[in-house]
Amino acid sequence: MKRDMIYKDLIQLDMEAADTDDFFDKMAAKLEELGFVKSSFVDAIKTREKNFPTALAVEPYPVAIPHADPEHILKPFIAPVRLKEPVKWCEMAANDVEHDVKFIFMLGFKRSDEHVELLQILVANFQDESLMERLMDAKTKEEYMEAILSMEGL
Amino acid sequence: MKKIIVACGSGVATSQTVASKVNRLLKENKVDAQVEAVDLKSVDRYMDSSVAYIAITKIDKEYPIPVINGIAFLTGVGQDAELKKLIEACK
Repeated sequence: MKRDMIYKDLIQLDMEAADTDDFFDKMAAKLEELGFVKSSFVDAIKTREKNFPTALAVEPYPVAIPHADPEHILKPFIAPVRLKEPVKWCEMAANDVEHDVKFIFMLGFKRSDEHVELLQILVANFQDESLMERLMDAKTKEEYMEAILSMEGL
Repeated sequence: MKKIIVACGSGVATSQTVASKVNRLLKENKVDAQVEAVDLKSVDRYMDSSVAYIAITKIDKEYPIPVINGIAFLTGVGQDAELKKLIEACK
């Protein structure tokens, strides 16, 4: 099952980031240190996000799903992040619409077929209000992970 | 069988996901069409052979075939309306 792509070690709770670039700098450093991405990842994800932004305007909270091309990924992962304060994030396919994003699921996929179902499950659950409230209220990485693993279909 | 194309920025995350979702919906609605995820840079080459283009990126030009909002299939928000447009394009 693809749920083993979700790493508790990658969960960041109440992470501080000034903007998306600052967020990518911090996350890329962590992902590189842990052997998930190549050093080319940080520039790749920033460029890709500028050209093809990834915030989804879902209810109750907007969620961003940043991802870079597979060539920069060493080991597939999903990194779930909750920011301390939201940052401005442009909406997917509506590049000039910004959302205050607090929840991020950073995706590192190596092949296209391994995640199709997983991404559908994630996006469906982003719209489950009680699940999102659990993510909002979680005090520890364990609670956060538990809430994610309780997603329907996962 | 009619062909529909879908493209996103990297070709690995959203476009494949939307393609799989739409293929399922078309099958459920007994529409004889297949969605193919293609590279964003090559979209123009598929215009003659496709009946619709499902976009997951910002569209800033005109296309000769109907352009469908792919985000609707990713999130489910507004999906019914987009599916209706898509089925219409397959007729």
